[in-house]
Amino acid sequence: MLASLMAFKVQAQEDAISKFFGKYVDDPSFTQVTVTSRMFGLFANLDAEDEEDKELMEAISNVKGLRILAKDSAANGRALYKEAFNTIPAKDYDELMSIREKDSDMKFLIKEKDGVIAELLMLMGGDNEFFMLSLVGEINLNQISKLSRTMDIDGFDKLGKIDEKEKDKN
Amino acid sequence: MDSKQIEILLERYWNCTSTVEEENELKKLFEDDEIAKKYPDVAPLFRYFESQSNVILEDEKFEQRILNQIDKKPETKVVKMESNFQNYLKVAAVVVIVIAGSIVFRNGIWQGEKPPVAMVEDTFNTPEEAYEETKRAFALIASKMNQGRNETEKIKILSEAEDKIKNN
Repeated sequence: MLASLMAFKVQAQEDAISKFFGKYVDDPSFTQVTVTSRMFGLFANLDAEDEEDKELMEAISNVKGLRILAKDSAANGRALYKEAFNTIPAKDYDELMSIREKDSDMKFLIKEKDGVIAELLMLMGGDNEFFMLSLVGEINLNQISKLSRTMDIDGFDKLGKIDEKEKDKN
Repeated sequence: MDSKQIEILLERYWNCTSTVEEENELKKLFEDDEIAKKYPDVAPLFRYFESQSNVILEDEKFEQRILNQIDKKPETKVVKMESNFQNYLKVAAVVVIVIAGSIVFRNGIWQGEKPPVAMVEDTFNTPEEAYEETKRAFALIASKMNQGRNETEKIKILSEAEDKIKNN
């Protein structure tokens, strides 16, 4: 019992944004998603139906946890983005990418440990939305970026727009 | 009784070799005023002894009272030790309470940390659901990341074009 509590504590400490998550976890206006390492372990039992799944399986093979905290129609999206960004210990994270759009800001941050990306943190804050995603484990960025070409990206309203943009570019 | 014999008796008395009879004899001798005058140093002493031996204790219970008090002393000591022991017990009890309290308090803190523990629990009950969500999340990450990369690509193309222009 004690050991398990300690383990959770350690896990919570490793995940630097837990604090931020913890603050809003009980707020019903936020969408919160957690997938634990236990669940990631169970993915191995699922059958990879197609190429897309195989690629994803490969990409997540060393991922230990996923967390999402999101708020739609959030008028304070930018404020939350700022707050989240300030909660992150700057010395532990490196900025990977920063994208500024008309109505939203986005940042990719990574935490490196022994040459491996141990955490990928995605922060997005706009005029009417807030989105925060944390991926922990061993993360292979190349594998992740490969996914987008093949993956069917429904479920996120925003993504449709991006698709169109990409089509325009291409 | 001549003075020589008195001297001998006194000497024996001071040497602590006189018998009870001899001492009684001395007391009687000094009752005589004539003899007492000859020995003003020692006469009052023997007279005092004689007079005090005749004193009668009027309060008959006095002796009993004294004896009772003497008997009581060890009793009170025992009581004192008991109270000391009780004090130690009190101190020990306080220590136990403090230790127990601190353990409970620390346990309470752990319980207070349970919400974060609960937070770590899976949102989904089945791996299939979780997989679908993970898939969507990765799709989002990948698309955003590539969006950023594409922007970088554009810049790259621009700078390459710039280089070409310069070179020409």
